[in-house]
Amino acid sequence: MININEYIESGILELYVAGTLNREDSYEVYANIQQYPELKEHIKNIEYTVIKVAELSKKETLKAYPFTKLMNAVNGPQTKVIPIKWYSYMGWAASVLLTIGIISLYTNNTDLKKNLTKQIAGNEILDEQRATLQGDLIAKNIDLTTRDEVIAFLSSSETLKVNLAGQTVSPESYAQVYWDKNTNEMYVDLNGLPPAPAGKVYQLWSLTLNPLTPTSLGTMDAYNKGNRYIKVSNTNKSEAFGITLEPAGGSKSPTLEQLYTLGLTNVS
Amino acid sequence: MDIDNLVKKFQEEKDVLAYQKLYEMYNKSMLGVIDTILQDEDLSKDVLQEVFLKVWDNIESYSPKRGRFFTWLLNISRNAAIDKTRSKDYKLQKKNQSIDIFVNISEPEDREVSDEEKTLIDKVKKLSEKCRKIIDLIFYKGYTQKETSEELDIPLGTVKTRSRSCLSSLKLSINR
Repeated sequence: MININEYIESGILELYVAGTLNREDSYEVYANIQQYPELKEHIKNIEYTVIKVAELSKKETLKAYPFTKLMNAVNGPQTKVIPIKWYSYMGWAASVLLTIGIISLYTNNTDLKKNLTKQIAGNEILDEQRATLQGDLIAKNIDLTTRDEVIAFLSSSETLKVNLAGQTVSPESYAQVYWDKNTNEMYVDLNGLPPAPAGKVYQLWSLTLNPLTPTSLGTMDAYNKGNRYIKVSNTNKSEAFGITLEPAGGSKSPTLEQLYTLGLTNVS
Repeated sequence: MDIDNLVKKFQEEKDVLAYQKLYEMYNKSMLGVIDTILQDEDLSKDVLQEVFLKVWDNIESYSPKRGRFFTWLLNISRNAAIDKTRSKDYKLQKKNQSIDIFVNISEPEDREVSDEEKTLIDKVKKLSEKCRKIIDLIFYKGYTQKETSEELDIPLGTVKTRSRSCLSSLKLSINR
C-alpha cells in the first residue's frame, strides 16, 4: 500500500510521462497505475497538459497532411510487382533453399523419388476419381454450377498441384494451390490454415526466385467468411507460392515473420 | 474510447479506425514538437508522416509497461526530427538555433483559441525561466534526469520535484 498523495507529490508520475525513469521504476509506476485509478487520472492530466503545450507551440498555419495521404503511404504504391531489397528476403530465400535442400535429399534416393517429391511439392496430376471428389468439394464451396468445370480443371493434365508446407510461425499449417498455367486459373485450398485473427487476413504471393520477387495474388478475405477454396487468376511465371498473414486490406510486400506456408511449383 | 483501449485496439488488431483516431489526437502536438526542432514547416510535415508510418510499422514493439503511448510517440517524433537536422541538406540551409517549446506560445500569432487554451497561454507567460527550461528539457527534449541536473546545474533530486511543481503551474484537467 502506497501513500497516494505522497506518491503524486514526489513527481515520479511526471518523470514517468516524460519517459526518463529507468525500466524498473517504469514497471513499478505502471503496476501502481493499474492498482490505483487516481494515479491514472493524474497521469492523464499530466499528459494532457504536455500535449496541449505542444499543440500551442505549433504555428497556426502549419497543418499535418490529411489522414488519407498517410494511409496511401501505409499501403504503398499500388503497383503489383515489388522491387526487392535482397537482404530483407534472406529469411524467405533461406526457406526456399531449405525446401529445395529437403527435396534434393529425397531425390537422391531413387526409390523414394517419385512418391516423396509428389508429396512435398510434386506436379501431381490427380486421377479421375480423386479429381471428381476434389472437384465436388471445391464446387460445393464455391458455386454448385461450376462443379463440372472444376472437375475438368482438376483432372486436366495441365493442372499443377502445389503443396505449400507450414513454416516457422506455424509449422502445422499447410495449403494447396491448383494452377493451370495456360488459362491462368487457380484455386487455393486454405483449409490447413488456422482462422485469421480479427483485423488480419491471409495474403497469397507468387514468387519468382532469381531474383526473388514476390507479387501479390490478393488477400484471402473469403476465407475469413468461411470459404475454404478461393479462386484467383495468376498470370505470373510463379516458381513458388507463399501465404502470409497481413493486416486487413493486405500489404504491399509480404511480412516475412508471418510467412505461414510456402511451396515450390516445380521440382527438378 | 479511452486512450489506452484505443492504443490496445490498434496494437492488437492494426485497426485503421483506431490508427486514424490516434493520428487525429496527436498530429498537432507532434507537429509542434517536430517543427520546434526543425523550424521548417514543409520538412516538419514530411517528418510527421514518416513518424506515423513508423508507428504503423512498429506498433508491435510498443509496450505499455515501459511507458505511455504518448511518450513512445514523442520519442519517435523527436528522434526523427533530430535525425533530419543531421542531414547534409538541412545543415546547409539552417543555422540550427535551438528554440524551446514555449517560444511560439509566448509570441502568439493571431489565432483563434479556446478558453482553455487562452488560460494555458496566460499560464505560460507567467512561467518562470527555470520552469520553462526544466519543462522543455525533461518533457520535450528527451533529457535524462542526470543530463537535466547537469545542464541546469541543480541537484539530481530537485529535477523530480521541480518537474512536478513547474508542470503543476500549467496544470490542465482532461475532464475539465
